[in-house]
Amino acid sequence: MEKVVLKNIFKKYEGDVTAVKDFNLAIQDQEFIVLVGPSGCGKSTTLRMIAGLEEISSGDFLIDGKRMNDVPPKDRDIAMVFQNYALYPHMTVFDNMAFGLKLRKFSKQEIKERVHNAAAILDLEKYLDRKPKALSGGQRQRVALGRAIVRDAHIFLMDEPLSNLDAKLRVQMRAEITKLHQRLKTTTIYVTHDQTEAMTMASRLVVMKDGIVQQIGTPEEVYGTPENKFVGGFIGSPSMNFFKGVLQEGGIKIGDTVLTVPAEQHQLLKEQGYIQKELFLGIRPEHIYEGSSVNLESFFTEVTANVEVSELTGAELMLHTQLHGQPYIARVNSDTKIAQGQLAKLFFDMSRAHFFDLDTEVRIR
Amino acid sequence: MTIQLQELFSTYQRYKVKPVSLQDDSYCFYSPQAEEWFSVAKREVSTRDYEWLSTLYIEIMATVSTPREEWHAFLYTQGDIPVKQAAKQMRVIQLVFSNDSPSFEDLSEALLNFFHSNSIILQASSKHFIVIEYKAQSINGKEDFIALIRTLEVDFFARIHLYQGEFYVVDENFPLKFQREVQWFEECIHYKNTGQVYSFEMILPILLMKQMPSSILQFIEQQIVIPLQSDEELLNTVKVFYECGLNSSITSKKLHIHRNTLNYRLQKFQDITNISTKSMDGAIVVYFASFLQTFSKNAQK
Repeated sequence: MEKVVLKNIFKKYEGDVTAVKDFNLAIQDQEFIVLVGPSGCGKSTTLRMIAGLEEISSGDFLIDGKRMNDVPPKDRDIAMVFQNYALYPHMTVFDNMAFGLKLRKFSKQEIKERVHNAAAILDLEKYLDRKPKALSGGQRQRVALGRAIVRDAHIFLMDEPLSNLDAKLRVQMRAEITKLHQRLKTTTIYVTHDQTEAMTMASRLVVMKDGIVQQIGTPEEVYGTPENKFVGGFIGSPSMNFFKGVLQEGGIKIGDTVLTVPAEQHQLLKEQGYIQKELFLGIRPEHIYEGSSVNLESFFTEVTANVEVSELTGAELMLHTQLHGQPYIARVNSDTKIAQGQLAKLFFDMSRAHFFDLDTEVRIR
Repeated sequence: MTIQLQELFSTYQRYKVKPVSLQDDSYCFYSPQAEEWFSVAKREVSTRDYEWLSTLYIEIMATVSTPREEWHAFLYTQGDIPVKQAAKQMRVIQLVFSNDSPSFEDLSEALLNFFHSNSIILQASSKHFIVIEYKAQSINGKEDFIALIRTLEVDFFARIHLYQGEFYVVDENFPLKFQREVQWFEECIHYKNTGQVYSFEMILPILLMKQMPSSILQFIEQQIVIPLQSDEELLNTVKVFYECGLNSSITSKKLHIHRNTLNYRLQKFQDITNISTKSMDGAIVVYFASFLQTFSKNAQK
């Protein structure tokens, strides 16, 4: 049975503001679901409705098959972790972790056992007598996780828990949370605006925009076959390149350059009436290769590019350039020595290209 | 009579208003004829003196009250100024729990582990709590209050609204200022329900809107709100543009639209309303128009 089900969920505020529109999702037990999208897309609101901190305007929310809309938050068997650490500054780490249990009238012995168990999992045992001020950002966030773990809840809700940490620590904590999930196997719903975090942690992603679910799928599915232009552009860094062009026999014309469209894909577009029509071509930066590093395939199209910016990120080189006024980035091997202002011979792997309708921006398939 | 008492007791002290607190080592009496209060040190008052003093005057009994009781009386029942905090700069933080009422003892423990231990916690009603905080021991700002709300949400499982009061000197006007903030808080929750941390800056536009002459409201409605009705995202786009400090890149990123789309919308807004999107004056008008748009929608409901 599904652990959590959200059916036709809407959240409307006064003044006709609809924060979440017709949200549907079924979450399996032990899944790690990530809600991702830009700020204001409704992901935190959805999480807060699950927690019971926001009322559900309409729709059904079920846990283990039981309708939870009207169940008080404290009886939903949910534990939460937030971005702002959510710690009491004047309590020790032990007391911070114990406080929720104390409110629920657990015995002292039970509290002690649970706190020590959680502290062991999170490697916090030696800090139990310290106050939050004496801890690093990462340690504080581990205490916040500890406050959730001690509850032994069936569902964890995490709202941007790593956003307060610096980049290096965020990468480290990301791995720690993943390990923690593998160990505890608690169904987790995690909210982030960071697509890298979403891609690396999720069993499945829910991409949201303007309160509407854009796509639900595994990271591979969402990255490899985005449902629409928004998802293609939002997931992936650098984001997918988009070009506006006109479909012709054999290829898509951008300015006076024609990029070859593989036969099967071309046939599909043709059948749907896109010949001589404008559409968007989307191609990821890693699917544009530099001339010296590729074995040419028939669907590769060569383009000569004037490199405006050449960014070395370590293992890779980001070449910023334009195709008839439409900017794009090619992500090439750092062995490629192309500097700013030089001409590069780039090859578009058109078998990896996506096509989106100009008006609806939905992927054509 | 006054002169005689002064001669009889060297520690005699006279008060035109009721003393805010009574010392344990003194007697305090009220003189109905003189309509004033006086106190004398107990060490100077013999048993016989006490008998005639309490026959002629009304003794004001010293009652031991906790700071919480003192503040409750001060804020809600015209009680005396709490002596320990008199003339100090303090503020009131209000908390409203919207879907559950926590136990006062549990919440007090939580709050006193967040605020300085000298802060005073009161329960105004089953879901309304207040924290009275010394300026010198205050927590910093909005980020801290959001952290507080999140911490309480984790433990108490309730949606919480918070009003960050201003610092005022604790004097006889303090309760009035507090009551004004209570009212503002209610209005904030009513008009800006999506927020959780409120303060004067947030209520000011609402207050101005409510007191604005109808002719001006009509003008804004007719010149801006109604012409933009068919294209509602324009007003919001311009509002976000101002909120982002007129920065096109940040605005288009926030709205998740292309820069060209943003420029198109800004131009269209300017064409329809004749309001410059590059000036502070324009920002004020847009802000009020945006509020009015929300108000109109609420009224239609």
